[in-house]
Amino acid sequence: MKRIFCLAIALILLISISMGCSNKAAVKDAENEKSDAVSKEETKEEKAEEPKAEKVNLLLFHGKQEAQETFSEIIDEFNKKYPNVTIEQEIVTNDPSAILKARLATGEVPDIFSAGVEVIDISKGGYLVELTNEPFLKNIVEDTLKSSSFTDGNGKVWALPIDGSCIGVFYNKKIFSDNGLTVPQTLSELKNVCEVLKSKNIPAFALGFKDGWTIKMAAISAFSPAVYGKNLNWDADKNSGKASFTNTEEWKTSFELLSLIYSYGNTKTAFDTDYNGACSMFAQGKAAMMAQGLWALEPIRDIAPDIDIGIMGFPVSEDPSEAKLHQFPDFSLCISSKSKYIDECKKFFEFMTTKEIAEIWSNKAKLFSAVKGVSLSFDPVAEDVNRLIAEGKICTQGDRGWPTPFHSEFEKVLPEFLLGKKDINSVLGSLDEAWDKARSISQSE
Amino acid sequence: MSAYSTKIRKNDLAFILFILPAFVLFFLFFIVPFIRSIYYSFTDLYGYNRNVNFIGLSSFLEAFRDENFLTSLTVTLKYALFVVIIGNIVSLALALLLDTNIPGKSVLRTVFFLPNVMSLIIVGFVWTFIYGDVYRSFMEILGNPEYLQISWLGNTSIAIYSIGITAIWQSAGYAMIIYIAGLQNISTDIIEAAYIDGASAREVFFRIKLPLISPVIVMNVILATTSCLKVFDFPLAMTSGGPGYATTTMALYIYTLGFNMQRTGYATAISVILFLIIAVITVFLMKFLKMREEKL
Repeated sequence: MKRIFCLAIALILLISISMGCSNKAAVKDAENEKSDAVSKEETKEEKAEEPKAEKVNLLLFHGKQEAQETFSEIIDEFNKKYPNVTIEQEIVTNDPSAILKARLATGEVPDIFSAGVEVIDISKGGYLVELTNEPFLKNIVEDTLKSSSFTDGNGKVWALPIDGSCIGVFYNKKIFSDNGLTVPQTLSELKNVCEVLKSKNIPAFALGFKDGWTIKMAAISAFSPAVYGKNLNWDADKNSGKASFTNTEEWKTSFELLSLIYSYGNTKTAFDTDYNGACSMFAQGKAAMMAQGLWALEPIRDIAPDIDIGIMGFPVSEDPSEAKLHQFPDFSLCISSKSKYIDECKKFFEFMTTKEIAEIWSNKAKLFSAVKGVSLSFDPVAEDVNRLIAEGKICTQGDRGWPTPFHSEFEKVLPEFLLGKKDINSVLGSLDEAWDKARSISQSE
Repeated sequence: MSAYSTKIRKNDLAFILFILPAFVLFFLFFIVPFIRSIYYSFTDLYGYNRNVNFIGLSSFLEAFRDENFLTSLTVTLKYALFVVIIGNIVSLALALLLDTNIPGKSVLRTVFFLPNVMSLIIVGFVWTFIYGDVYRSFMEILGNPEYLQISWLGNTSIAIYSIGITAIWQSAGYAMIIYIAGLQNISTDIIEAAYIDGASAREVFFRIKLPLISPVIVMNVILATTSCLKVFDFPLAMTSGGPGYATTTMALYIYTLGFNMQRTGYATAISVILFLIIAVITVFLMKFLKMREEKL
């Protein structure tokens, strides 16, 4: 009895091994077989039996779980055009940049990957294919391409921008009209709105400060128009020593605005509420405004699909034209210099920059396209954004030019400031120090 | 004689062969990375940068001027003290309770041990929920009294202890099992004799049980201390180190430095410091508690 049982198990194992082998034979390129415990999706393996061009299998690595279906759709279209190229997605949602770093260090590099804010850092290690003179870059909006996320100090382009997003202040139109309020254009109007709401016991802002990054979003919505709206080259000035956190009056203003947001929000529960909590507060009409990025639309619409909301730039001064929305590039893709099929990767990039594909992408991702001439219709809020863009109330510079190690320092200082552990002057002083240190570390080559 | 010695040698070979796989794995994934991290702690290794320069002790010097590192050190020590002391008292109390003949004690033992089997991250998330939504709805039922408006994870001065409570809840069962084993090793004769001699229950506990299980106490304290000094999962899952640096323990700070700020070299230097701290504290505890044990 026991023997039969053993035999059966052995047989099953044998069969499963041989089946595994036959599957792999179909895909062929053994070196692209990665076996990480991450969600993996194989897209159409073989299309019609074409007269054989070389079979190419590319690995696309990204951390955007929500884009999985969109990518599959685009890859299917791509396969129709180039049947010999298969693209496999590998999606890592939990700390993709750490995983990517480990991959780069061990040489197990995916052919195409998204690298977020660290593109320029990675390019310094010689891991990326330079894209500077590629013809498909002509399809990309120039301002976006020039952003410090993709182009380094020497004008070399290292990544293909795909889409962009914005950070501003969402507001609930119903709460505003119920209380006889209009959308604030200036700082004093905003203060007035906060006071009126306070007198009616409605938190002006939904705060989810338990997640540290949400504080940074509130901060960006204020400092992007306040600091960078006035001086787009503040980062460069800071690096050359012309400007500093301490001597730039606008930074002080930004921090004052942040504490305004904090003091008129759900202050008591702010550090117990997380991002989702804040989104549901706003969606349920328990708070009138929320300073967040466009991605918050998704959780808000999940809870309240028909909520009447809009988005505005943060009124940072008494001049209405300074209430700008922060717009920044979001998702981008790079090609690994270790890839065997760089030409095929470039073909895919070219494909991603065609208008039809960019339209599919943007309307699915609910973000702005980096490709020229793509129209948006994904959400009523997009109207507000289109209007702000038309009025020129957009600021494209924010935290993207910062030295990488500075980001975490900044994020950590914010709660210490809000909770009164540090006063404004020591905050600004420590930011200056942290910036200089971060810069010297990340530049020592 | 010679036949005998070859037999021994053959046996030795077999032993070595048995140890070899474990040793190779241990060497590859423990010793080698350890030695390399000591090497990297003297360099300015940075994220994706391939150029590595030797910078001697400057990372170590920087660490002791780094306000955030010193904060993480005090946070870790506060946490360790709290969890080790309260945690051991709680588990000893539970052990004493379950060492008596109360009904349903084997069920209770399982219940108290159960949290220990759960994933730390899940425990963290569950407790975040308890501290947040659950606590708030309780307060709503009670009519939101002002003095009970506690922000368990949002208040910088109590957040680390809230995490400590979670850790105690999670680990008390484990220490409890060890204490129960120790208590059951005490011969009932001694205790009976003491009662016959007129000792009170309190005296029996302090004069007989406690001294006799002192080796167990030593072991539990050392186990708890080392694991507390390395704590990482709970703060990561419950507060991600916030607000500010209020719950950033050393291990979490190392992670932030290495993976968010890309300062790999500095992060390894701090992990070497953490290693030294744990080593010193453990040796000291062993010596000190052993001494006490002998005195008792």
